[in-house]
Amino acid sequence: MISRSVFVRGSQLALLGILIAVTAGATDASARFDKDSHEMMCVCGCNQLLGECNHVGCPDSDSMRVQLASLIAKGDSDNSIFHQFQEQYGPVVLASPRFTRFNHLAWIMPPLMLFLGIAVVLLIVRNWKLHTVPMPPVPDTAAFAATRDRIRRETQI
Amino acid sequence: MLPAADIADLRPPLRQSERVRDPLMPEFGSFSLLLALVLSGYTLLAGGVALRQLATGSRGRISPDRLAETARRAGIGSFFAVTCAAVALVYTAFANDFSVSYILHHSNRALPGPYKFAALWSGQEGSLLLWAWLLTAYGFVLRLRHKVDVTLTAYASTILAGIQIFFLLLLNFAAPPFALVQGQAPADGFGLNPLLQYPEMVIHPPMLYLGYVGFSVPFAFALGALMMRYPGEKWIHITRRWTMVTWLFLTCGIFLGAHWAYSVLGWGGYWGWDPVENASLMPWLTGTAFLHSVMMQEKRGMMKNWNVWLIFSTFLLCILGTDLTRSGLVSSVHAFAQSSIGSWFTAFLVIVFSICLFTFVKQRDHLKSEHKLESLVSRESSFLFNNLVLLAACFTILWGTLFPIISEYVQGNKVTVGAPFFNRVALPIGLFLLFLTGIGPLLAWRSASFKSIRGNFILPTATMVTTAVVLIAVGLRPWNDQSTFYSLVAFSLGAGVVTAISSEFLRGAQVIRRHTGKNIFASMVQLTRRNTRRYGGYIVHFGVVVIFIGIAGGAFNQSHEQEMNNGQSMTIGPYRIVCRSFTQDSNLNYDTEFALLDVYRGNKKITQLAPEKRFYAASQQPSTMVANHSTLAWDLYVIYAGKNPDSGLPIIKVFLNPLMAWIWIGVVVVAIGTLVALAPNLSAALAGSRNIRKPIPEPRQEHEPEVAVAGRSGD
Repeated sequence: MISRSVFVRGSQLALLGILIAVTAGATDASARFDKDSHEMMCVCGCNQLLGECNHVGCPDSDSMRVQLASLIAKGDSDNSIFHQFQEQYGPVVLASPRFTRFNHLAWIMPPLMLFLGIAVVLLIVRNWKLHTVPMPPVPDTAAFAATRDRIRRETQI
Repeated sequence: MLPAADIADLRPPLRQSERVRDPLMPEFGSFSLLLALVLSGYTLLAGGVALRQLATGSRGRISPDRLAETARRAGIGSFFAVTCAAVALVYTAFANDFSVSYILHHSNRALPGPYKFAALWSGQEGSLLLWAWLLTAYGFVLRLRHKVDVTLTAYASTILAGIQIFFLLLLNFAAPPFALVQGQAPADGFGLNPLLQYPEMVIHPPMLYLGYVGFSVPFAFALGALMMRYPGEKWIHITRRWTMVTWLFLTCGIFLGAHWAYSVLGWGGYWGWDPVENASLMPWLTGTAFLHSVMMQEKRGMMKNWNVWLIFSTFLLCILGTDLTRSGLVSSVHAFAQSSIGSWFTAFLVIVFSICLFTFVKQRDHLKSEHKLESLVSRESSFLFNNLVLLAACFTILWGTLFPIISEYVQGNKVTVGAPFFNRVALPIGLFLLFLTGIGPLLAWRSASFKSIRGNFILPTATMVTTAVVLIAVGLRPWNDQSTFYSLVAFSLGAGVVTAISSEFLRGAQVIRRHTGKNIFASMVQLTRRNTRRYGGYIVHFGVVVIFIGIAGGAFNQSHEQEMNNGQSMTIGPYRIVCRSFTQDSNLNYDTEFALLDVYRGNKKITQLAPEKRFYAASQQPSTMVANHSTLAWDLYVIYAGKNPDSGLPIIKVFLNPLMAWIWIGVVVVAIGTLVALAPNLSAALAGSRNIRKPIPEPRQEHEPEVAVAGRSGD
């Protein structure tokens, strides 16, 4: 059982190696492979990025990596590659939501909440300041300084 | 390497007595759980009646004080009952009693002893039992220390009993750990998940659960204090240590999990933004926010509503995280995720939230602030922003975790929200938090003047700018890619924050040195002992900076994969790796393939590494054993990726991960800082008896108002 899966994995790795070697002339092929494989998920259910899935006997990741390398070698753009993978495996193959209509919400909400929070905090502070009676200025007299020093001596830890 | 079937043949034949089912322990365990449920039920009911009588002044046949005392004792009894159940489960694991379904599925005869012990928390039922045991253990300590405040403790004890009942109901009816297998007991178990057969897994889950469960205590105190309209802020003093200890456990649990993932999963990283990881991070973030904002309530009587909801949210997030991962709503790499008990957690979540909301609405007039914020540039406002950023980070993680469910509901198809999303959205928030870590302590309570801000910020700002310029000069190109930019920002901010913290220490130590004549280091120690909470907090901040620096190093990771024959080599960074040999081996627990690799730096051999790939016989699952050579500068992280079936040669994957050790060192610093903050202050009397020639004023921040300094006892 193990030998078969190792055989399949080995063959795929060899093919992947050939594809990467063939495309080595392209200046950024391996960088693109690394980048794109970290933008997609392995679809075996392991919940790992394609570039990081490393199960022995994983039924999907090796063939997906081979497919990715061949598409890069063919000269397809990143968007085209992602689109093809999405067509084949469904939207779950993409590691983060694309910028489509509803998916925008995924990206917008966190910064929006942060900025709203900042605005609310500023409003609260402004509101509190308006309702706060200002402290009287600290008198700059020798008597006050002496009292203050005595308090500090008596209350220090 | 022998196939698993052959390995099974090599095992000694089982004696008949080894197959015989011994029903005593499972029945004892089941009975103990039932007894614990009854005792917890009594604690809740009797405690509730007693507290009601005390609140309304009515009396039954038994005085409320006596009734409350019986409830307390029943609560203590529930701890012993759950302990008996936990011991029974561990005993059945060590006795190889495979008639118990849980033991059958999570242990086997060849499993080493420590992992048999760890089987207690390696599956659904066992981990729930661990949760219940820790909960009753916390309750046991709380109930023993009831004299701190008898009434408030009675409220907290009753609320804890309610939580205990939920977990004991689960253990008795939904996920019983002592369920027996049908028919004859199998001769051997299916074994423990190979990924869990790692030393850290013996301590990671208990640490994490100590954190999760521990938040029940401050939650119970907060809810109890609100229910009884507890006067003053004493409940915060009572729960401060509970909260800090819990936070420390959760911190250690999270990072032990990260270290385990790094060491075992073999993908070169330590944090994958998996829902289970996210579930642990969310209560940590709100708990951190609570630890900060609660200082405002202690010092200035502010943020009472906020603090109550922060601790409520922290507890609710512990339950929500468990609900999300165990119900199967979101997919996770964690094996025990999918089950039918999610609906129990959802129901519990709704009940707890309703009780919190009802109590808050009913008692909200009790939570009126005594003071208000006077300036946007003050310690209070820095806490506000700190809370805001922590909650924004928490929301981002929750949003990202839930978005696939929302998307499925709205669009009809599930999308993945993985590491790329979290890295893009959460990293800027994290860096903002790092920025606040530095500036918060430099601001005075109530209000800081422009002059003092200028005086205190010049040096950290100069350090930040200098660091950025130097890093760009030595070759960092932030405009090339996003991760390098974030790294540059993290390094620069880190340098600024360390400067700010150091200057705070030095300023205080200088004052002590002037008055005592001690050297600067001794003065710093004394300064820390005089206000452990404040300076312990600074040490924690320093640890956070160290962690961020380690994380920022990730932008410069390198990796290389190569098939290697004997004598062949590959080069990565400053290292040359030479394959000395590769072979295979077997034992009763697993088969293994491994390579022996000599590591050279220049011409000097510095170490030998042996990455492995194991195949466990009982579970029929593979596992990676990473070989790692760690230094302060980087980790040389080597994986045995497999074997090429055509050539028969091992495929070796190597990562060079810069600054990785800084993350783990940072966690140790955070732990030390928390322990310092937990230690009591050196008393004035003690300080007076040791080489103090004249009274030492509390080191004052130059910008801080004099009156505020005089009254300070710790911040």
